Amino acid sequence: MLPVIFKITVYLNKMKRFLFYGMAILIASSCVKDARDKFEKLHGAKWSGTYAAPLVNVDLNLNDAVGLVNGFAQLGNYQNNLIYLAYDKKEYSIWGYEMVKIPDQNYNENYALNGTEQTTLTGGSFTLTKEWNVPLTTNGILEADSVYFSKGLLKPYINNQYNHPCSGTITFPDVRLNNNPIVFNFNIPAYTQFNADTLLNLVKMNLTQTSQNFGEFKMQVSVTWTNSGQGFSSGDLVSMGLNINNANFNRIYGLFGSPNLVDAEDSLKTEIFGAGLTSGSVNFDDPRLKVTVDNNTGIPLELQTSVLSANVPSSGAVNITNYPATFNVAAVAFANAGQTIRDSFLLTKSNSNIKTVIDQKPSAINYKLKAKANASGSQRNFINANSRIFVNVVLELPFSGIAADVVLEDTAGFEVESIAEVDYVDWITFRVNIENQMPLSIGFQGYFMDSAYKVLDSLFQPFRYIANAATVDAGGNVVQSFKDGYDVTFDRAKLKRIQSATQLRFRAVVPTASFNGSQIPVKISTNQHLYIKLGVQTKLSAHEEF
Amino acid sequence: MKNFKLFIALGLWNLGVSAQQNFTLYPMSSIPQANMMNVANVPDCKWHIGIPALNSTYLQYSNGGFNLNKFFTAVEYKNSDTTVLNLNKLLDILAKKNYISMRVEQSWLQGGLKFGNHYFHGNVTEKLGLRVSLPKDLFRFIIDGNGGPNLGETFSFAFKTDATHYREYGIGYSYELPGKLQVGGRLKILKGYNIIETKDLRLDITTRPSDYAYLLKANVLVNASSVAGQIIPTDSNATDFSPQFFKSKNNGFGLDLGAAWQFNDKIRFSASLIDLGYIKWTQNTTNLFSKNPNAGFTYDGIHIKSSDTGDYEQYVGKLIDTLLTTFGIDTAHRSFNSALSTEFFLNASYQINKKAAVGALFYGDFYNKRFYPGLTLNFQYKVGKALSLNVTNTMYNRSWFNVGLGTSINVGPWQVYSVMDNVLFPFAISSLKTFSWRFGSNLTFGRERSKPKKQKNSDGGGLEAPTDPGTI
Repeated sequence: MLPVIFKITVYLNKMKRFLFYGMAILIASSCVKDARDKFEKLHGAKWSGTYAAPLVNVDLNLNDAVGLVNGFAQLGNYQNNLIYLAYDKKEYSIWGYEMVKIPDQNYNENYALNGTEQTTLTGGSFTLTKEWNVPLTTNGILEADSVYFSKGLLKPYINNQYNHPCSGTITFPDVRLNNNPIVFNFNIPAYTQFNADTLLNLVKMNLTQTSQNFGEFKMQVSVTWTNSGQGFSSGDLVSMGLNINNANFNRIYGLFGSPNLVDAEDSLKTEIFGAGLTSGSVNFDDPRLKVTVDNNTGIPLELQTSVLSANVPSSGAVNITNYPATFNVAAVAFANAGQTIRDSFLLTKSNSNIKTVIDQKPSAINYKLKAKANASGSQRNFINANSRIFVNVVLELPFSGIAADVVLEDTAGFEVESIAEVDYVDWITFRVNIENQMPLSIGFQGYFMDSAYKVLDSLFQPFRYIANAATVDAGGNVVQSFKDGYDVTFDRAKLKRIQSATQLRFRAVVPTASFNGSQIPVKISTNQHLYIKLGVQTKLSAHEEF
Repeated sequence: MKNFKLFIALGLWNLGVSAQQNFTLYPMSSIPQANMMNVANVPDCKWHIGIPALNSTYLQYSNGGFNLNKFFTAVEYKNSDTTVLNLNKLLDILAKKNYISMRVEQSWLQGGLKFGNHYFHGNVTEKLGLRVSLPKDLFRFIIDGNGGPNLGETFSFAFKTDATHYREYGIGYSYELPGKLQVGGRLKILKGYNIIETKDLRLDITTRPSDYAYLLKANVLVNASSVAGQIIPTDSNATDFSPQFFKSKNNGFGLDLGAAWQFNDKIRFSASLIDLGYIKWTQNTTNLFSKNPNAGFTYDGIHIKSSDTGDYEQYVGKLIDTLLTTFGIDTAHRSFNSALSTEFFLNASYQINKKAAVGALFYGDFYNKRFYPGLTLNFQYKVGKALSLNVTNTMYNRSWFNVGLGTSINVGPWQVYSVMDNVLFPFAISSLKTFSWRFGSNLTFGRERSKPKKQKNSDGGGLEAPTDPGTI
């Protein structure tokens, strides 16, 4: 080995050492040229990649489902978490402050001193004492007994037209603030008018202290003149009175009579049986029609229902039976003013034909009702300014029942801008992981259509249920949720067909679960969820030339 | 003892700046700067002084193994005149971690003096290094994607950027023991000027096959310091950035150790360990770190719940808040240590005759928790008294053909030298992975005459060893 190395050394020495450098440069130069040639031949690039990403993680219950499909009904739940679909309509009275009004008003009394009184005054001084029953005008109440004011202005006055100064008091013993009568003191020169005013906020006016026993309050005036030495002229007198402006009440008590505070004739649309759910059968196991009255007045009410029926497409109006023609609602006790008494009557399959009616998928519930005040006889009551009577007609459809062959359909415009670069997409796969805790199977199909409504493709081929129903026991109670995971793949050809779609027609079926091969009434509650995890996997590829 | 352990640990772990290579310079005893590679090396002159600021300039570039030739392996023929680039095949040319490093060293002062068996030497050298590491997983994620055969794999986006500027004040001593052994050591006082050091900057993404959820895990630990001001300014600690070249409070130290053993007249072994040490950075420091180190988060899609009333923007806002809470970054201004890039050399040489020798040099350094070895075969030759040559081929960075050439020419006491580890790079750009070039000029005195007398004084392998001082 060593002799060989030695010979190489000698050889290199003989070759003038430059040989090595020359060879190196030659080799390197050829490498550069080779690289340039390769670059010149390069006229394109290709690439493919497969990507995956999570899209959505959905947690729904029937609340969302109903909201998404219909968007018109309300949902609630009973104490056992059973969900119900509710259609309701409220009828209501006018507000208390609209029912009774206190207009602006005034009251005036003139008094001229007689000869004896003038003689007494000439002797030094004279005191006049007077009392009047001042009426309080109120509209909307037959007889007002007392008023608790929320606002207003009480403006008494004394116009002294004698050439003698005077002083005294104006007292309203029935108009009290903090239980103290309102009193005004005055001391005015000759030929002068005394004007005063006080706010009526929080003032209570008792209108029962006169012989009439309603609608009047007392005004007491005491005037003492002091002789000025100027004597008297004909036509001298004193004017006394008051004005009430911009008054309103918090509460008013009295005799209201027996008006109809609510008088309504209307209908409750039941859209679930209308467009969108026209096929198949839906059987609600225990529908309920509830009429509720909210009374926050001191007036007892009698709810008078003269019509309660359903519009059934097949047979026209069908009366709902066994509803009470009159239904009494108590008044709020005066001590409990501000509270609300709620009372209602309920029609169920056990006390009426409501289930039979609902089974016929009515399009509306019709009603005609009145809320009559003091129906049992005239009595004295109160109302508050914010009093309002509500009558609520509610059709509750608890999700306990059977649905079969029910189809929901709709068509919407469809834009596919997001897949405009479909040429780069080899395929897209949606990975679905689902857990269904509801006793409802969910089938969904989408049809992609062109502008002439010609079907170009469909979402699932073949059709499949997105989720099967949860397993139920013989009582319709969920005992085990349904879990599944599957892929739905769109290849490039399918994507291209979808790309030209302008309309998308949805078709959904939601049959309820079966037990031992037969559908039984199932219960859907608030704690039953539908969990859907959706991820996407796609292969993209490109082959570009340049 | 505690500091010594820290010293050893930091040195061996070697997470610092990029390493120098100098495969060709190592055995060249005619160049005094070879002593920088092995402190036991004694040059073949009695004393020397480097031309101030011109005695040694070192430039180095290297990458982790990719070059144009490998790029062309991703090109496929469409027909005889046309090719297309297959982007997916580009991934084949990448390593798991791909780094690019650049290094510049400028020696301001350098000199040495020999007394009998004693050799004293010193240097003042400015050192700048930059090393960037990019993860292959990043390009795999972008090009191949995460949903194909690699579904379920963990993509680790681990980035690393280390940039350091420091000055070295070195003083060394070499001694030739009676017999066949030479030993040497160099103590280096270090002054740090600028640094950005990425200890950890990582995001791991795993795509769960069952639902394509992303399992995220991240960690950040970045240190920075500069005598000129805050490299990474924060609101609470913003300062003006004004260059400083002489004042530094970032002190450190380093150590070089070397030994050579003359086995017999022909064969010589040597070993060297250089740049063992660290710098403690205290000036204008900024530490960026994860509030929750290695925190994890699972993103499994946009959550839609029955109770949600918000819109898409609110969900995204909530998601961002969660991410910021989970992967939030905090800032501190604490001092930190950075290790030097420790390297070792193992060399064996065989003296063929008076003028020629061959050798093999094994090299190693650590970076980013990986070991980077190199192997150089060299052929040394002296042409007359004035010219020394060293031709090498180095295998490094997954590149097998890197021809190096070292040359020193002495005209009287004046010496110029040039040492390249990849001399053909201007002509072979397409295969370029590494390149380093050291050049400079010294005044050397008392160089050995070419009088035949065997002496074992350097890794040059006992070339002619004149005893009389003087120029050649």
